[in-house]
Amino acid sequence: MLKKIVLILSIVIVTTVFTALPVTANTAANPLVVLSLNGDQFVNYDFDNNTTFTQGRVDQAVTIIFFGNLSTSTVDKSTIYAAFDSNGFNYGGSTIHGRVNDTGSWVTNGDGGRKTSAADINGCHYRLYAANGVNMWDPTYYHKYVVATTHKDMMLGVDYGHNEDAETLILQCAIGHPGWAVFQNYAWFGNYEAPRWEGAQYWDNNGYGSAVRLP
Amino acid sequence: MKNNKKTMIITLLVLVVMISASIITTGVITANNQTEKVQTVFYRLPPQDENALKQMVLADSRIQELIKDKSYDFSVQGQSIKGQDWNLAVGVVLKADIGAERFNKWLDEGRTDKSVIEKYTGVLNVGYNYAYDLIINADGTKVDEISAPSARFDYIIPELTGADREKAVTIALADPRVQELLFGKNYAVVPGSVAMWHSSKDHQKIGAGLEIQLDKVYSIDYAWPLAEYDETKYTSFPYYQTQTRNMALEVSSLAILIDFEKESAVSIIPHSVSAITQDLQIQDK
Repeated sequence: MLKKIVLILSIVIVTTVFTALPVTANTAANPLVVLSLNGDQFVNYDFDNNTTFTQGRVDQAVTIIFFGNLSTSTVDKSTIYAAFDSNGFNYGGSTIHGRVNDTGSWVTNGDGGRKTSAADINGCHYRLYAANGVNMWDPTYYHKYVVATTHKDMMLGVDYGHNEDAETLILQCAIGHPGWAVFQNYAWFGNYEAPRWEGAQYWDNNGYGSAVRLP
Repeated sequence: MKNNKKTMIITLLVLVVMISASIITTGVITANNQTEKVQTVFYRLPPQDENALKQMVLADSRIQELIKDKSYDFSVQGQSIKGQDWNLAVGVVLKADIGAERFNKWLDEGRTDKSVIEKYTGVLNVGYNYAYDLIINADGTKVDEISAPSARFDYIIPELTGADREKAVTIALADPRVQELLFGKNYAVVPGSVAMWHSSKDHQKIGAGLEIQLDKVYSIDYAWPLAEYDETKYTSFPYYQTQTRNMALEVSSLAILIDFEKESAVSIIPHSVSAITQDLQIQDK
């Protein structure tokens, strides 16, 4: 019996060590931040795939929260997309994945977002994320809300990113919508990116997220 | 049969104990089946209060030590380049029970009501790679604790030295195509724009990028040299090839990528004012 226990324990130990290693290794070094809104949570970057959510697989930084003034305010992805259509965000993009936790369970929401240039030249692009693909609910401050990543597609394969500029451009569009209130750079989202070129991606994000409140 | 049962039970118990221990020691957060730092969103104070809080933090000798020699100031061909390799963010965590109405009032009234504040906090980022969490005392007058440096990435981003920055600007301004494009125009190297250019796959330093702001928007028809970066298509370092594209554009600034090994500008990217915002005023960034 002892032999059997030793054998099974050996398998268990090896399995545990191998499955635990990546978790431990990522604890100190992983820059991804789960942002907490009094209970609800979201990861402060989106990801280029829907299975591996690591720092090396991020796409763009979360920069904006769209939320409701009242518990009855309509805040959902389709409302926001429809509103920004009038600002020239008329083209769909490739699907990228956000990680959100609205009800106690982490889920992935894939979204192509909307962009202003089909050719990805001098374009602006945002994506929206919500746990159920529509919106989320925060009973403390935000009521219904969705989170957004922003970037610019300056020239495909040559120059994209510019998260901060894209955030500013979208806020400027938001100001023009009746009843919408903009709070630029109102809170720390923990995704500060000092200017750098990673291949063709130009990172530049001040780490402060913005909020857009819908009536 | 009896022995088998005993074996199973003992193994199961050991397994439960080991998994529990693993969870306790690693603090698993299951956003993506790996551990991450959980941070409550912290909010900004009005500019005057935020500035006072920053000055208090920057007066701390421990902070001064961390950012010592992390600023730069040099000139190339009359262009003054100033900047810093650190970033300080400070703010407040709000009480969780203030409710949506009071939260909105706080936002609308310029975030001046201090009765909603639960605590002061901050983050100091140094270079590309390290961050320090700051614990500030209850009335925002003293840094109580500075965390050990935490790595911001699971790899090291190469840092840009002062010599690298100067080299990048010198090469860019000496490039005959850049000189041709700038001829007869007023321009300035954008402060803080001289930045690392590194590969994505293996995080090796390729060179640096910088941006030159033109004094107004110019219509420029040019054969633009553009580095197409694609690690799948170009499988060996530095993973790009420069191509030329003829384009006539309304140009407000030029982004220039310098390859240090080639000691030349390999990409001159025209930036235009965004069509969706040209009539809108740029806000505080």
